[in-house]
Amino acid sequence: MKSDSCNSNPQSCVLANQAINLALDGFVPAVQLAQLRGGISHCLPCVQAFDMQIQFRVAMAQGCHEAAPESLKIRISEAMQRIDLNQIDVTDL
Amino acid sequence: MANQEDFAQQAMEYMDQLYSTAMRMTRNKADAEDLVQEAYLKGYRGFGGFTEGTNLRAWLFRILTNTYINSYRKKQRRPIETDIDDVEDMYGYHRLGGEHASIGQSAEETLMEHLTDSRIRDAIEELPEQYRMAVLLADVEGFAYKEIAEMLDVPIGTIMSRLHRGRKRLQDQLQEYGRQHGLVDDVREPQPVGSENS
Repeated sequence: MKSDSCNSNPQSCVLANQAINLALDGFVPAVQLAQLRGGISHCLPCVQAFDMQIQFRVAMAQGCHEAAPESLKIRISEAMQRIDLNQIDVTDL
Repeated sequence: MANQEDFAQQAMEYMDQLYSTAMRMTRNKADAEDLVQEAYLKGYRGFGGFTEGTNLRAWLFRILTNTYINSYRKKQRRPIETDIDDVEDMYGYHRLGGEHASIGQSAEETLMEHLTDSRIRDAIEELPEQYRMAVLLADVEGFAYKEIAEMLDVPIGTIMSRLHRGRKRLQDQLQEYGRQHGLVDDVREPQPVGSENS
């Protein structure tokens, strides 16, 4: 079914925008992603916009991953063993 | 109530994620390491108040972001940009994926293929802070809008607005990179969508 607000323009397509927002909200299971994509399958540009957003997000997540240095892990482990807990400000918890 | 002695065993597995986010927040290795260490020590100190069975990862990220906001960003050399406009406007940020019909899918795919991890990280680090925090927590770490709103203690609509604007800026930057490197066509500058003014 084609949405009246779509006109093959993902920018103005309410369904496409809703689907993309839902798809990007947290870790969405593959099954749900497929369902969301299926809901806009009437509109090829909307599906392309959807796919591109998912692809972009994956690229960002992969691109930003960095392993913490081993020296930091050791430093933190050692600090937890010797720190005086009463000296730690807990206002940010 | 969580047992403080269990903290290290449960929390250390999230260190890579916290460190990655800290790197994008602080933009330098030394500050990122200090920020992560401070967050862990605060978590260790406060773990007795953590409710077992709730989301430890989200709890640690909350400590990390609050520690950054309250301490580390004061040290940052770049001023905080204040062009945040919290007008609710979630739609129309899908520029890379459809706003430019003239760019075409193949050109966008070409751009995606050529984006290096380094270029993506640089683009994120260039975002204004509030956009950057929202994008990092949502699109890199995969937290739900509601979780981010709770972490940053702002309304969920504000988070969605910041995300919308952050994603749009990010994609604009990468499109510009693509144009400069001949990966996408040099097309007309699009008109802002909706009430955009950023």
